[in-house]
Amino acid sequence: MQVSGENIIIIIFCLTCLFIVAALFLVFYVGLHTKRKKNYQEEKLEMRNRFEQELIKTQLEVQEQTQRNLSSDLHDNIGQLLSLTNVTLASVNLKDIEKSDKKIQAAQGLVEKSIKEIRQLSKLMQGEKLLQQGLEEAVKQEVQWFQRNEYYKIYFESEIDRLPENNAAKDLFVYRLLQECLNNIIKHAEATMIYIKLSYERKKLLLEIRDNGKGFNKEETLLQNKGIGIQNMKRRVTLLNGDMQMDSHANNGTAITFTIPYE
Amino acid sequence: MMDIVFFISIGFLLVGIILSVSLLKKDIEVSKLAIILYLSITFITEISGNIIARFYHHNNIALYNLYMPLEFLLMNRILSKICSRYFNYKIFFLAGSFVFFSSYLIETLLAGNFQQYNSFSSSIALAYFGIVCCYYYYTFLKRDSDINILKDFGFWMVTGWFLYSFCTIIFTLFFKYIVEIYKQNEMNRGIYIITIVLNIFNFILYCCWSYAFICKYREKISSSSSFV
Repeated sequence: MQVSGENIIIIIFCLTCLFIVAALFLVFYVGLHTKRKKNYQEEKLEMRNRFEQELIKTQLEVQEQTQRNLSSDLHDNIGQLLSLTNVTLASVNLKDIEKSDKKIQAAQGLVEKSIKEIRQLSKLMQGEKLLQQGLEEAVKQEVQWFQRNEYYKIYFESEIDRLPENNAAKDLFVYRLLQECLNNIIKHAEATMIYIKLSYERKKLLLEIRDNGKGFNKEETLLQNKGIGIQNMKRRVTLLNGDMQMDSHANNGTAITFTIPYE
Repeated sequence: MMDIVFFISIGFLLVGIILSVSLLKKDIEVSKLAIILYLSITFITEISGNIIARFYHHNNIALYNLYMPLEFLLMNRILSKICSRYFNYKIFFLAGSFVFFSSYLIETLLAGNFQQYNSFSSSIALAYFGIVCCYYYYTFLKRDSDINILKDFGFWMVTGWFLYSFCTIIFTLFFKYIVEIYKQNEMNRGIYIITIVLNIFNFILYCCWSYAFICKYREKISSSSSFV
């Protein structure tokens, strides 16, 4: 059966349409794929920039915190101690040897206390440098700083022996998270006991902070836009691809756990 | 109508030649001479073929048969400059040349002269270019670097040629049948539409290439102004 001219024309057009569709599909696919790749690269760059900006911001905050602690301690503790020493020495009456002796001994005690406080302060100022020695050392130092104020009972547990090589950026973020939590406890919690645990399991660093304070309603706090500190912490944890779990009930304390991938 | 479409296509070809001469500079991925030669030879062939058929009422097939190997070699030169950034073009060129020239020679010898169009060789050449372009796209997708395809010279050169060669392959494969239908009835509507469609593909090719030349020119300007 001979194929007619019309049929041949129809076959040619059908096949050509098929080829056109295939060619256009290929070209559009290449275009779309390239565009998506470009968008992905741009997003990646943006995330890296945001991370670096946040890192700089965190470094500044740690420095500010150190300076705040330094100034408050100088004013509240050391300033008071030295003033008291001054008053004590000024009241010494050399004619009354027994009383003078006691006052001089008291003044000596105050000076020793001042020296101890100044030593603690100098260690605090090295806090950021301690991060270079490892997160555990820096956290220990922070805990010791809190423990000098006997109002708080602080328990610190560390199980990060298998932590891989230091990641300076992550260590700084985690240290800052700890500082923010402790600040919040001081400002709002009315707690007397703080429990801190650092552990490392399944390539994740866990920082757990618990207190026996008055707790708070977290949904209400976030709704009233009061939880800026919490939002800051969440933002930092998200940048680290981590997770933040917060559990708090009225009069039942607060527990926060940060889980950060650490390889 | 067919004349209008033909002259529009020739017009765009002329625009392509002017843009290639004025905008292109020799570059790692631009074979300026090959591009200008190809467009010029195509222009001369199309005009000559039209004059021979229309005014001298002669068979112009020999002209297109002679044009075919030139087109093959020049297109290979153009594509080799673009594709060498991504893969080893030499292997494709050697294999493709062997197959094309073998079939061209056999078809010419079998016909005994140049009066019969070597449609099979033409199909081989178009299929070869289709494969090269597909491989170009494959390596283009695999690369790590970020390229804006709306401004990439190589992408638009290959895309223009790919759309032209891949979509016209059927016409060359069925060329002998089309000629038979034309001989039976010159005013056949199907032949009329085929001619228009072929010219549309020419138009697409020249538009893509003109855009590629403009992209290359812009790239040159922006890179030279960044040094100011």
